Amino acid sequence: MDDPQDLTLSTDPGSGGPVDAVDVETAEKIEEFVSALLKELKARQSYVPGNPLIERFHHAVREQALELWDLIPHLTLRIDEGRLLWKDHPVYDRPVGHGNFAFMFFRDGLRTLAILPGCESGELREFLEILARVRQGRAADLLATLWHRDFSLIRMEYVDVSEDDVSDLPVTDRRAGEGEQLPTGELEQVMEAGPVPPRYEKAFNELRLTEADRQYLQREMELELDRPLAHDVTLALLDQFEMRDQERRRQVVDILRELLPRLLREPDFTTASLIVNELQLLANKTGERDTQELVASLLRDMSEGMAELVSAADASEHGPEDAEVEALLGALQAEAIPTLVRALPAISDPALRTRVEEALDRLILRFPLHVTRLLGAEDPMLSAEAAGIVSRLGLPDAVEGLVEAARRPEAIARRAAIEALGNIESDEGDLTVVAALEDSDPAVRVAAVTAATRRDGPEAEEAIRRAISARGFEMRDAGEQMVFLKGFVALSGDDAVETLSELLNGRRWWFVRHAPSLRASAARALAIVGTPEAAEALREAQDDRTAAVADAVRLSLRHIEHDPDSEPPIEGDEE
Amino acid sequence: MTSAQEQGVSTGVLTAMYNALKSIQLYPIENEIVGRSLADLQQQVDRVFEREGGLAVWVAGNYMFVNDVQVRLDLADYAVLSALRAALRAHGIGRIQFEAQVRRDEWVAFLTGLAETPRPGAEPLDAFRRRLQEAGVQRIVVGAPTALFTGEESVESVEAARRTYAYSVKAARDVMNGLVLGKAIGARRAERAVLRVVDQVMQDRASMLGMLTLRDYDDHSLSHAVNVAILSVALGEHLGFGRKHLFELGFAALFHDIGKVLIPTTVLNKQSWLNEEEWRMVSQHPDFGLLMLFDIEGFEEPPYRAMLATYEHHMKTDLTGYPRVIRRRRQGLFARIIAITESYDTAISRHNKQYKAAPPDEAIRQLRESEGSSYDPIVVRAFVNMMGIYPVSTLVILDTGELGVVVAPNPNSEAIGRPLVRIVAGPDGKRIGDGPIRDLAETDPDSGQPIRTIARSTDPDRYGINVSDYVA
Repeated sequence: MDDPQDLTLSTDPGSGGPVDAVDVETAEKIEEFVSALLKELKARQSYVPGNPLIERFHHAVREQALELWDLIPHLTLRIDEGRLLWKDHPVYDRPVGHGNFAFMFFRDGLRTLAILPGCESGELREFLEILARVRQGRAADLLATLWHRDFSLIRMEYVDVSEDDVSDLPVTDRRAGEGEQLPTGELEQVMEAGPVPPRYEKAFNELRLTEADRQYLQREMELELDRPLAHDVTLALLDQFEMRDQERRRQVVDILRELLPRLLREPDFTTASLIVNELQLLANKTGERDTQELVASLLRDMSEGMAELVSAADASEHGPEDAEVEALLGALQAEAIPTLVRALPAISDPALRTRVEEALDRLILRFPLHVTRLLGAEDPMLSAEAAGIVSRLGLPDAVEGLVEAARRPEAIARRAAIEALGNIESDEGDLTVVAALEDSDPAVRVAAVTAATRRDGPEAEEAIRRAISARGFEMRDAGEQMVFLKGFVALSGDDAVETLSELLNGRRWWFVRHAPSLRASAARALAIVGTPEAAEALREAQDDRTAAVADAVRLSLRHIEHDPDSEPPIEGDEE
Repeated sequence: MTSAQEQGVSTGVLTAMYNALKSIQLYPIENEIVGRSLADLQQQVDRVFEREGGLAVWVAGNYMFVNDVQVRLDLADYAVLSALRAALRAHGIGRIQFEAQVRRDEWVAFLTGLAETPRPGAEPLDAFRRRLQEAGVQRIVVGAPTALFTGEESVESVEAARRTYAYSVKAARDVMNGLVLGKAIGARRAERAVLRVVDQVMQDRASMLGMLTLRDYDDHSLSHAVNVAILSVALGEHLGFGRKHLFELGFAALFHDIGKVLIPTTVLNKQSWLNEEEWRMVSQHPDFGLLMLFDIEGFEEPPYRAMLATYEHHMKTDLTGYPRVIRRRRQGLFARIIAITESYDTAISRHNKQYKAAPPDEAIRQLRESEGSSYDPIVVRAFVNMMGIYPVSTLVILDTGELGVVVAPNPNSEAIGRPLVRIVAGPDGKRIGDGPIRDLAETDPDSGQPIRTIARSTDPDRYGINVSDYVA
């Protein structure tokens, strides 16, 4: 069919009149306007909303529109398959194809587009947003989308592009039976009965809507429009769940499985928590294993999709009510662990963060295996987060996973695993920590020293001694050297003096002294030891010709001799 | 005056009216631009008065008329006149009668009212009239759209309604068949169908209501679905719903019985009373409908309102119907509307040997009598107001002895029992081909009494008359 649903138009080629010189000039201006529209549309497709480029293009569109209104009172464009025509003059003409601007309208049945002055103040922006959404596939039906939006200054005329076959409708004929004689008995009766009593006015008075009726209808309309739709639909679904029909329950749960993430995203915590609470209650009430398993499966699925809850709650201005959070977090199953682990670092609201953390800890204590599995997650960040959590909770079951994680190629995962192993007592873990003292990554080595110090074993002490005596140690960063030396002191105590003295005062091959940074670090470490032997070793180095070393020696000696109760001067070379 | 001159004057007055409307929307009344646009409008109106002695603007279906001359629209005028027509339509205005010397304050009151969005819940035309009355406007009188079943226009309007009807039945069939076969159901075709119904009802309600006589041309359940959608959208429009909500209502109505696709046809089409088990099955269709509507894809969010209307349409206002309510709820307005329109369409349809279809006026009477039991009495009253005591397609005998078919309610809402009737047979019982349409509110200039009055309705079968010949 090709019958427009809006005003009937004459699309006769001559209807626009001849294109005179002035029209050509106007047509050129319209072409520029259409081109500006296209540029903005492309920008909207390419950039996120709010991008300054979009604003720049929109400004150009506005300017073009305002210039246009000086020439014409409004712009009506006829949409051809691949062209836009103004008074039969093509103002956009490109080969028909997917990216064709005109075809985008044409294929959905739009045949005329009228743009009126004033649209540039608001409607045009929204119009282009809709077009961009359609082009990006985020809105399916351009015609329906525009129809629903119902712009007042952008009007359209459409046809339905599908074939309207009315051939199977009964044929009607206003001339049917023309001239035929009908039975007259009833007609005569009416004539004989005489004038009809005036009853309609009374009927009108009975039937007309009073002001009170109108107010009632208006109130009802407002109630309908304000209705919490998702909530009311949920109540209906829950009523359905109560039918003693397992198949129906399954259907309802399948629907809720789809609905819950949507509710959490929107966010509608009230309805989401209603579902969770009610279903658990109902499942318990029935006492039926099948039903309980059905509900548990839903909660497991919801738990997997907890990212929606967390991000929506974090982004929401008012956030969920306490009871709602309680209901939702309380219903979480092990499946929520990965999502929450991943989401936790991104939560900006401290109160929400605490609640999620608490919920997560509760879950992990219930389901420790789920978090240890995460240590092997493909995402190293997730593995590291998991290691942090098992470390905080000191889960012994996690050691195996942590040992595995300490061998991962990603330093961030190894480091977190080593840190965690420092908090959990196990022989296997201790060996892993010791091995990590030789890790290729300085951060992992530093973590290993800290962990080893905490574990306090003879293997750790020996390993650190080996590390600081190794040839490459003096090439390391001063900070790392200091951490190692501190760890060594912590494990060896007074016995550390000999090694430290060797570092400070001894010589390497070819009688070359150790690097100044290492000597300075050794001096500071001796301050920690703080014994007369340590002081003796420091005095031996008092005349070191390297200023940084001499300073460190001086400060360390002062600490031991005059102020042994204060913190040792180990923070570096600042003084 | 030549035809071209007539056209020029007509478009001139409508364009001036639109320009004044826009200027009032954009600027304060005191602004010079408003003053200029009002002066221009007055000048255009004066020109018409000078030439023709009066001015009336009509909107009927796709057409606009100035003093009964159809304004031929070309692309150049389309934008302005389409916007003006949309503004008039939003307020339910189908005709405007202007008297000479309209005062500036009257123009301002009229245009300001037109520029505002009608309040939902109130019949927009009545609200607009009250507004004019309160502002003391005497020289501008507004009225409802009329069908103008007088010439070629009506044929086109009816043809458009027929296409919309056929399309909608097919869309409903596609969705329902798809659901039966367990296929993924896209909303697009159904959505298009409903928006076409909304547009068509807004353009020419009577032509769409006439399509109800095409019932049973396809599977009864499909034509019933479309009929209920048409009636519901028409009632929604009468109540002042905006397009968005008319769409939602139409969509809900189109699928209100979708759950019945899961009930065996042997039960649905059973020619005798249903036994207890069969009744139990049938009464589950709202439950099934609620669940099935989740299978329709293509909406940004699930069609919640349609789901609720589907679920609640048999609940009754006191919730004594079905499905059984466990959690607190009240029957929503959409469900109450659909309950009434469904009941009406069921009453006038014969799809079962057990029931005989009631004439439309009888169906209306039954609804009036049932007020307060199952249905919302005020929504029933609004429905009767919209349909009239003699709805479209009622065959009536006039006190003149003529036989006629109601083709449209009277545009004057007070003439509730005086619809527009197409005469199909004279007092002698001779059938007339393509007879004239008579406005039963028309009075004899001498006596002031109505020229024709309905004496009674009658059964078309008795005369072998197919009423759809006159309204569809």
